[in-house]
Amino acid sequence: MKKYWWIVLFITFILVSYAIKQLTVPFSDEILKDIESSITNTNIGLLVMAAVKSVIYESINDLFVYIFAYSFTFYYLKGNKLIYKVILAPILTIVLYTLNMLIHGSITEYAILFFIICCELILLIIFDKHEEYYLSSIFIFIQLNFAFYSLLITTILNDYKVGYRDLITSIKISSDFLGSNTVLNFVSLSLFIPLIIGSILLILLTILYSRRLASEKREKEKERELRLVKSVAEEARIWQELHYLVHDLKSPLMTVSGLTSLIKLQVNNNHIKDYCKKVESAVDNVNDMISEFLNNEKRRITAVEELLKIVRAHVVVKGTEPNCLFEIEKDLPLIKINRIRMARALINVIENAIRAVKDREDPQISVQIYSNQENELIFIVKDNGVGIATEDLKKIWNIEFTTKSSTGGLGMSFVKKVIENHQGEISISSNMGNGTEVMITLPGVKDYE
Amino acid sequence: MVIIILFFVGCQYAANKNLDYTLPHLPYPIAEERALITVAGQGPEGLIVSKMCDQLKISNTYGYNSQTDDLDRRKSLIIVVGVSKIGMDNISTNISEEKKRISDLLAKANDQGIPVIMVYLGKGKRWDEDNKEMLKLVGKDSDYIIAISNKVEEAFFRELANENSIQFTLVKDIQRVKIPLNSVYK
Repeated sequence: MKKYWWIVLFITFILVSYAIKQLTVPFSDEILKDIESSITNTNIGLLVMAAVKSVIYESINDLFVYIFAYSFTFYYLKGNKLIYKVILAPILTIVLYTLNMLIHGSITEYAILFFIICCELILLIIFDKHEEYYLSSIFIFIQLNFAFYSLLITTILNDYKVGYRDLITSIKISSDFLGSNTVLNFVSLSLFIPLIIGSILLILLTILYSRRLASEKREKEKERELRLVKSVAEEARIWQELHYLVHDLKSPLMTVSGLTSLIKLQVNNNHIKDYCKKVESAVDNVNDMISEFLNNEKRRITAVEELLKIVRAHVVVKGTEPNCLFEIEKDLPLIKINRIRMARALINVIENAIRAVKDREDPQISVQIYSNQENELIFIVKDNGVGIATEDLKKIWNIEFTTKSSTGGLGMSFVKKVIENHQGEISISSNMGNGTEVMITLPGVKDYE
Repeated sequence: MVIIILFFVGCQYAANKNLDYTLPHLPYPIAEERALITVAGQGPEGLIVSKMCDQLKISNTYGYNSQTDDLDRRKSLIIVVGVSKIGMDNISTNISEEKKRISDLLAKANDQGIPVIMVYLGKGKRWDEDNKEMLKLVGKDSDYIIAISNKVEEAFFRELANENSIQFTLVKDIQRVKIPLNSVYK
């Protein structure tokens, strides 16, 4: 059926043309009665009324041909070069116009068609690549159509073969008899001039409106870019302050470490000495963590279990939280990582999963860790939460993207940055309503490392 | 653009060319009242000619669909040619039926020895094949032809009149039809 769409379109055209012809028969009969009455009663007013009605009658009969040709060109050649539209539109209009005239069995008059085709081409050129203004252009086209069809009743253009249609001819002959040619010319121009001016104004307004919209769009784009730059700067500032803060922690830690050593030297109690050793060990650990945090390049060969210990310490199942199931393969390769940053990245991913399932009746989160043949470590964090919309998935790595109102939106951007700094990869897939799966791949430690 | 300019100039030139001299009106009346007026082709021209006759005080009966019986007791027949498809559709007839009706009327008029006057008001506006055929049909049996014509149509009427040895008057506009029309009766 799809293959023969043009046959369907052609048959539809013929049926519509025939239907319009049949529907307008009572209207033409009424116009004929008005013409006869105007002659019988020598009434110019009735003739003017018949003239205006005949303009509407002729417009209605032809209008759908023009709209059909214009719309077909507009949509069939959508995205094509303008020149194709400029060639197709007149050909199609002339062919369909002739066909319509044959169906109606009336005289084909091409003088007025010339003006209509000019209007059609102007509109196609103006509204090319502005599909959103299709309806506006159709409205303007209808107005222009009425404007030029009002010229049919003027006798000024008789010598130029304008207004040689059946009803119009009857009106013009009657007008000659009643001596009302001046009145008909006046009526014709009173319709033509305001309609033309109105159409031109509408075109200008539409162009101005489209330009304003485009300018607003550009402004919004600039604002977005500015926001992005600001958020990057803000992130940098936050990190810098964090560095200072963490760095400042080192001094009190050194004090604690020093004082602990002194206590250890001055007491003989073995229990207290043990406690002091534990405090020193804890201070060393915190010191190491601070060093790792401060130095992104500081990497340590770490076992997965060690990393998970840090992660678990932060993502504590607090009773109300969903059950987080860890499935860890045995004999996993070691990884060379900045533990603090990597742990933070994993925590971010898991916390996102927890938030996603919080409204579920059966919340489920699983963390699978296994290795592949390339000695890579693969983390899969899966949840059965609300999922992420397709359009949001594309933006998820953007620095300012967030679905939460309380955070700045550094989450997944930070995760990606950390993973990529470790020569790893991260991907995310989601089905709206069915959950999300985040897959992280990290290279395992090579033998020589 | 050149084609358009040539088109407009050509149209203007053709329209402004003067008609050759024709008989301005009949030197003596050829018909008597009362006249039957009908239109060949259902345009409004028949009604216009009837109205003109009323203004000229020429006793007439107008019938847009007059049949042969309507010719009884009429002493002249005026056939106004104006083929209008919408007009014919309006009374559910067609060009063939109209031709037959007009042929019958002409035959009856010929039998009764009634003079036939053909009037054409369409100028170039109704200048299509149907109208030309109707003009030929009526013209060959007419006694006098009155037509509004441009230079373009003039040759046709001249040939039609000469072929059938008919007197004819060509005028430029509808207001000038009254003089030759009046001369038919007065």
